[in-house]
Amino acid sequence: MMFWIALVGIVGFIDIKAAVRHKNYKEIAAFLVLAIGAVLLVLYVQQHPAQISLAQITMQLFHIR
Amino acid sequence: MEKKISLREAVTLYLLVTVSPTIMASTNYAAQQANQAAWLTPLVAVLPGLFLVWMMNRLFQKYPSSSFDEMLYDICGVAVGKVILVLYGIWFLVLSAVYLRFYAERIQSSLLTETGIDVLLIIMFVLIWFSLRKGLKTVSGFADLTLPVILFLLALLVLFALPKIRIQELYPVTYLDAVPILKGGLAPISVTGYLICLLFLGNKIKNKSQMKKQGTIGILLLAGISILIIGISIGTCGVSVTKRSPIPFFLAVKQIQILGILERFEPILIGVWIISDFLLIFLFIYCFLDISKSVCNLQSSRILVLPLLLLLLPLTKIIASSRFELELFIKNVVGAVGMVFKYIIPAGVILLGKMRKKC
Repeated sequence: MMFWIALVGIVGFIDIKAAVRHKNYKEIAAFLVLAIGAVLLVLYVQQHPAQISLAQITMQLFHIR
Repeated sequence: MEKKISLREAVTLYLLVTVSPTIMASTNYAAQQANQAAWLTPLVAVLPGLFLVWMMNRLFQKYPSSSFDEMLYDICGVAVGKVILVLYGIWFLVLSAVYLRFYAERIQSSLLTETGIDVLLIIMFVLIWFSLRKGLKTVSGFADLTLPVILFLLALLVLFALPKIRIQELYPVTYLDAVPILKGGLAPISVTGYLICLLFLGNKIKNKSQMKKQGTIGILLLAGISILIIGISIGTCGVSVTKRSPIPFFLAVKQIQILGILERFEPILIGVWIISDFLLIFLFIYCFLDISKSVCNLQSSRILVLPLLLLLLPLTKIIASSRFELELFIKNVVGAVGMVFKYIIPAGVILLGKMRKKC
């Protein structure tokens, strides 16, 4: 997973550089929000593997067994 | 400006995209509900499918150069439109994670048992990343080239499986099976509903005036393919095995043997699956990116591709703790919620448009 983060970081940096050159600040903000959220989720999943399951949470919410 | 695709290419993409969910979900669910009459369930999906085609045709006629987001803004207003689009975005994200997980689990259980799920996912991500860079035109061209090959391969598998079919497994079908067939039709109806994705590609499709004709052909072809897949599965494996097996068509293909010499045709099916899964995930991610662009008023969504793929990696892992849970999730939640996004919201939008004299 860390390899994937590194790869995304390197290629993402090139995209960011292009966006800065064209002054597309909205796109940079959207990129940063999504990227930070993704990295946090990756780190959480690595720290707590197999502890959360979206399917289970949703099914409990709808009272489905 | 991205190159536009023709409506025929879009329908081809839709047909390829539906192959994987038909093999994976429809067969098992239909057999559980309708037993030996399950092979008739795809016929139930034809009417809702044609209704969807009618709705899309109406929207395309009124908004010939717009996609669904622009239609929503005009009919429901910008604020409500954005809320609906965000919901669609979440739905596409969850669908992408679900199908990515299924793709990885399937490959892991059938071909590469020693390979980690991360490796399989990253290979798919790299493929999708390249395709998103190339654009919709390239991918739909690929789909256009692949469809005849895939149809030929599926026809070949069906032909080879024919001697193994036991007709008594498919009969008797009486009027008492009408209600179970209707119940079993929910899965094919859900699969047919993926046609809604074309509404999001509206501004990238040309000659949409042919929507009625092309859409009807697509729906009927899908029903035909589904009948063959379900019929072969039940006819070869029997109802009780089809009900219990997660992928009965795979079992049916495994049993194919020609003259006692040629066997093991399942890699052909896995190849077809991977292509279908790739196009399915590509389409969902493409729709998600288009929605993000529209909701956040971005000039281009290209910059979001990589962080989105990064987000999908852990999301795919936490979507369910096991394959069993994933199947339950698809059956009980994704299918039902999908009906809202595929049929009810577009119908509501048309109704509102009619009331506001915009449709």
